[in-house]
Amino acid sequence: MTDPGRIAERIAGILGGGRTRLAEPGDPDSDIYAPHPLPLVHAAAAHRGEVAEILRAASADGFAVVPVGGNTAPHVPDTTAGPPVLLSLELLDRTLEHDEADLTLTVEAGASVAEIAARIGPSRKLGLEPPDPERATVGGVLAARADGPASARLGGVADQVLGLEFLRGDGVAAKTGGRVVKNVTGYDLSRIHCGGEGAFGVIVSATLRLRPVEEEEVTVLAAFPGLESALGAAGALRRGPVVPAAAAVLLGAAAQGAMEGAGAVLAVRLEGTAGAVAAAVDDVARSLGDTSCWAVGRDESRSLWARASTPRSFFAAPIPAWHLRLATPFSGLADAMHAALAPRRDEDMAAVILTDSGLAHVLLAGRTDLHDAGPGVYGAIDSALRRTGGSARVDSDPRDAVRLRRRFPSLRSDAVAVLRRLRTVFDPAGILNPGRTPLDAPPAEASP
Amino acid sequence: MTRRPREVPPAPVAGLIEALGEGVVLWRPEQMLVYECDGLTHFRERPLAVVLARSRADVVAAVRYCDLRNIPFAPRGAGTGLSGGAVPPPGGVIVETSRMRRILEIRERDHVAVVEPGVVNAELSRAAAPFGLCWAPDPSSGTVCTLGGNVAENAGGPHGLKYGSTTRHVLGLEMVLPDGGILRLGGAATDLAFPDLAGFVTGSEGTLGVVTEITCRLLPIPAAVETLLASFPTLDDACAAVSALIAGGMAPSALEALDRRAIEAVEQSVWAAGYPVGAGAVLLIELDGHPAAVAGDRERVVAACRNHGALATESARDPEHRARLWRGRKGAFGAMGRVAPDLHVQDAVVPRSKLPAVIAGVCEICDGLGLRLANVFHAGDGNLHPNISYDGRDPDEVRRVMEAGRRIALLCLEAGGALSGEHGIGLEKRDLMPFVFTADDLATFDAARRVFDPRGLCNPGKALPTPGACADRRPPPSPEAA
Repeated sequence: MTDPGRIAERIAGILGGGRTRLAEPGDPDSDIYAPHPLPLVHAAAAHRGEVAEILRAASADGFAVVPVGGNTAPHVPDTTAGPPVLLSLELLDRTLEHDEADLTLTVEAGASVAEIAARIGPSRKLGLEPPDPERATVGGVLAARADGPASARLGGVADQVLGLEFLRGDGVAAKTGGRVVKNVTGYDLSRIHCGGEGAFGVIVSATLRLRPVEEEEVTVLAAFPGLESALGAAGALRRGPVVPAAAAVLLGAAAQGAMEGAGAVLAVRLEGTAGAVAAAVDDVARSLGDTSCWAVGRDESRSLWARASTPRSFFAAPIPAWHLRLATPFSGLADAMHAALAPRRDEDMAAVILTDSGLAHVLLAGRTDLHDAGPGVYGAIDSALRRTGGSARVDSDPRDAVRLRRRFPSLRSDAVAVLRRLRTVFDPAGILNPGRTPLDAPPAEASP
Repeated sequence: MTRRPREVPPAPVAGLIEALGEGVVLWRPEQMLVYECDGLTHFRERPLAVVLARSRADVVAAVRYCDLRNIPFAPRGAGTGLSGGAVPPPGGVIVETSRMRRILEIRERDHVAVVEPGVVNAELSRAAAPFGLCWAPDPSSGTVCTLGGNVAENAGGPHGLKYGSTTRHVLGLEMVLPDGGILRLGGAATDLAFPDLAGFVTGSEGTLGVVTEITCRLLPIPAAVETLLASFPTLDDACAAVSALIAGGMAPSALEALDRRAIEAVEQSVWAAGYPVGAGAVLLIELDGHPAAVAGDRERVVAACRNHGALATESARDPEHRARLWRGRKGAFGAMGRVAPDLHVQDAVVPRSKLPAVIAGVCEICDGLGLRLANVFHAGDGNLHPNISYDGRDPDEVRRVMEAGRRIALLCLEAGGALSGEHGIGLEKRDLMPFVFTADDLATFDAARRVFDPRGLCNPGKALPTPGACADRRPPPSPEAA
């Protein structure tokens, strides 16, 4: 079924007209669906039964479904594809169970991360620090595997998941895991859904670990002339005795955001009892040697790390930005970052490098001279990643919003065949996010 | 004097010997006795042959041979598993990887090690120590069990409380698929484009292939460690203290419990640790991290224990004392061998707040069936290990032990818990899976399994109860191909 009108009719038959909307090119409200190309049918499901019915209809009639939470990490198709149903899950936002004593929370997938934080109260926290937490939903954060600054210490998003309930592409409900903090029962399908970008099913609820909020939080900041010296200091810290809650090197606009005039800033977040944190601050200072540093308290620390989790917040005004995410072992960070940062000017760039986990978010503002330098950039990053054993992906590219975001050749491409077969298990009709995930990507070119 | 005729291996085995060499393949029954079961001695099956793989090439050759001749096979490490996961499938071949024990690389700056699956768990930490690094998951069998087995079962151990189970520390895997193909998953850094398939394979109980290399995440050795022993009048008091510690936000790196019977058994054994024999229960609590954090946490932990009726608390005076306290805990299962010839170690998880009620229920079940029970468990995770001592030569006692295991599992499920915390489902709890998962859930698992193992040859009959995986429906091995 490719006629958007008929698809809209089909969905309205399930949800009613009030929660179904056909958006066609020229629609005055089309901004709210950006960057998803029009036409599309916007559907807001209120409970999982409706989601299941829509998936069954899609599998039977052959139209695409694009599950969406806060639309903070949108997927756009590489080629002109049939009009999809943009299926919003934001109405599925209930807390299903909150076991305060056992520190577990079961919540529907459409709840935003900020909303959940408000519900669990100030003495507990989720191990999730995605970009745009006010809009990012649990389901979306898991599907995108948006690992945050604390991932080295607390684990990535997948490590926060104790269990998931999901709907397969054929609308059949299934689950994995459970509600307790330790579990080896059946296959851990949550490892496929996390980072699966919605290709393996629609997550409808998740059971997550909670953690106590520590008595004290402080971030130590130190300024350096540039990347190398900052990474050197980060490397020294890795030898202990301090185990930071998070550690990052900030460059460009991100460094300016932490400290005006700095070429690079090392930020080390410390959490614990007041006495433990005070002692850790002293140890960090000792490790930094002659480099002076200062510590900021909880409120300023939280503000800084919230910005570091949403790197474009470091730019003064909203601008189109080329957002690269890059992962390498610690020893490869300098090499990979040089390749990624080569064609930029400081004021056009914000980089947050999570040194403890080797993850880097690099944001380059979209200015034409950067893209004129483009062909060399992709090739250089690719070469660096092959040397260091890392991976990268472009999350947004301002030149062409509807073009499939570039993925670099995965060094583990034999896994792609297995993932494609797994996808057929979970979505036999291929209606979930077709053409919108790395599984559909054509082999990446050496240059754009 | 009559000379015995030279024994000839059965036809399918002869081909395997030809492919791999005489020293690599065991086939005489007396050689294979120890491979008939794993740590759960209740289930036994004589394998067709055992391949003592020396390398990935041996694993590939063995798996390809089995695939060609439709022979089921099962991977095996040190055979210390406690759910029957390494029991040979009927007529099947064991592919043992414990001879693949090289540590290939330790990358100090990146906190990464690359190892073969036969590396013993404790050996990796020993090898990483000179670099100031360690491997965190520490199951009680750590001096014997291998990393390949740990990956198969997503092994936990006491320090899983703070550091997580094996999945948390596996960055990448290389595995031989059931058709003999090689698959590499993950690596030293996160693969940003795709889900964590290495994490999916970890905990899959050897049903998706044979792991031949593991990329491990190492952690810095904590700067300070403190080990405390707290004794309580009753196990209930100890469990209440556990709940308070967890809910109060204290984060010990380990929180282990032993009840009166377990204490008595340990103190009469070679693993005697100085546990107070008259106590109802002890908690072995470990704190690690920055010295200032450890010192502060120690005060809070001691206070919490005293508030819940602790009779006494003591801190390990030195590394030797610490090692002795841990020897007692880690030797507890072995110590139970003094009580009776056989031991059944259950494994289940419940929410920590439900521990007192569930343990009372477990005691009631065992009392009702006339069984000797001791409790040794990871209290911090709510991961129970009821130890039931019995004589395996008494069929009625065996029947009662199996019945107790089933009732305990169902009791834990009723309390909102899980069938297994770290031992896996294996053979032991396969038939209980429908109490946790619907038919659609199980069908989804089975379909995922068949992506890796379409012909159902890799450790069939384990972990999942679906008929297609049952070994008794396996067609007979085909004759040797011309």
